[in-house]
Amino acid sequence: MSLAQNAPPTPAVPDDRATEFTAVQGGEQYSGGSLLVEAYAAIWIILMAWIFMLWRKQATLGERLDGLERTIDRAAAELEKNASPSARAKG
Amino acid sequence: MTTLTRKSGKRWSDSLFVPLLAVTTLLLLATIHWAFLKAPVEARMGIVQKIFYFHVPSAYAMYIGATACFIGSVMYLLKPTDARDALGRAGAEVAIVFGAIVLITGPLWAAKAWGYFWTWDPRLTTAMLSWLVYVAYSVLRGFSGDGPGERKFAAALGILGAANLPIIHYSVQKWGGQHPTVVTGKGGGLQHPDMKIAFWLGMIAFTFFAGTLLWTRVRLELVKSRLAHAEEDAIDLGLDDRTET
Repeated sequence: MSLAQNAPPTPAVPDDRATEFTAVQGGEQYSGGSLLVEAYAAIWIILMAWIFMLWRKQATLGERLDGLERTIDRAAAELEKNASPSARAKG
Repeated sequence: MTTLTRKSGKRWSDSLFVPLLAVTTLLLLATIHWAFLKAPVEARMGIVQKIFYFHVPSAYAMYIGATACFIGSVMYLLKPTDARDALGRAGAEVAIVFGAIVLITGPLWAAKAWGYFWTWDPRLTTAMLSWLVYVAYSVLRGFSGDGPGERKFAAALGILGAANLPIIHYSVQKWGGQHPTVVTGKGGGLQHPDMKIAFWLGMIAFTFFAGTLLWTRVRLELVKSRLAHAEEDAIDLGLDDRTET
C-alpha cells in the first residue's frame, strides 16, 4: 500500500468551489410524471387529513356523551335509592 | 324547566347514505381508471395534463360547498336554526377542502405548462381570495364560541364568500389572464372522446363526493348541537356535574 493511497483527500480551495448557479437552457424543468404524482398525493393527503379531523370531532362528542350518560345514570341511581325507603314503608 | 328528550330511531334519509357512499366510491374508481388508463396523454403538455381531471372537478366541488354555505347562511339569517347553521358550517369546510386541492394541483400543473408555480392571474387571485374567506369563516367558528352573535357574523361572511364565486367564474372572460378556458371558453375543448368521458366522470364523481362529505359534516354538526342542548337540559334538571368524564 503506498503512502499516496493513505493520504487524506486534498481539501477544496476557495477557487475550486462553485460561485454561481446557472439554469439549464431549454429542456424540461419539472418532470410531468412527478408533478402528477405530487398532485394526486396532495388530493388524498388533504382528504385524509380532513377525515381524520372529523374522526377527532366525533371522538370528542363521544366523550361528552359518555359524561352525560354517566351523570344521568348516577342521578337515576340516587332517585331509586331515595324512592326505595318510601316504597318499603308503603309495602 | 325543560326535560331531556331522546330522538331515537332511524330516519328515512339515513338509509340513503350507504347507497350514496357506494355510488360515490364506484364513480371515483371509474374516474381514476378513465383518467389514468383510458384518456390519452395530451400532445403538448404530456402526462401532467391529467391533473385537469381532478383539478376542475375539485373547483366545481368547491362551488358546491360554497353554495351550501351561502344557502345555509341566508336561511340562518332569515330564521336561525341549528340545521341551517350546520349547513353553512359544513359548506364552508367542504369549500376549504376542495379549494385547497384546487390551489395545490393548479400550481403543480402550471409548473410544467407555464414554467412557474404561481402568477397573480385574475382567476388564480380570486380563487385564493374566496378560499381565504372560507378559511376566515372556519377560524371564526373554531375560536369564537358558538353563540347566536358569532353564528350571525359567520353567516354574513358565508354570504360574502359566495358573492366572490361569479367573479372567479367570469374573471377569465372579463380580465383575460393565463388560465386556460378549455371547458367553457373558445380553446377547442377536449379533443378526444376518452378525455371527455374522463372529465365528465370526474365532474359527476366529485359532485357525489362533495354531497357525501357535506352530508357527513352536517350530521356531525347536528349531533353536536343536540348534545349541547341535552347538556343544557341536564343542567336545568340539576345534573350539573355533566362535564366529569
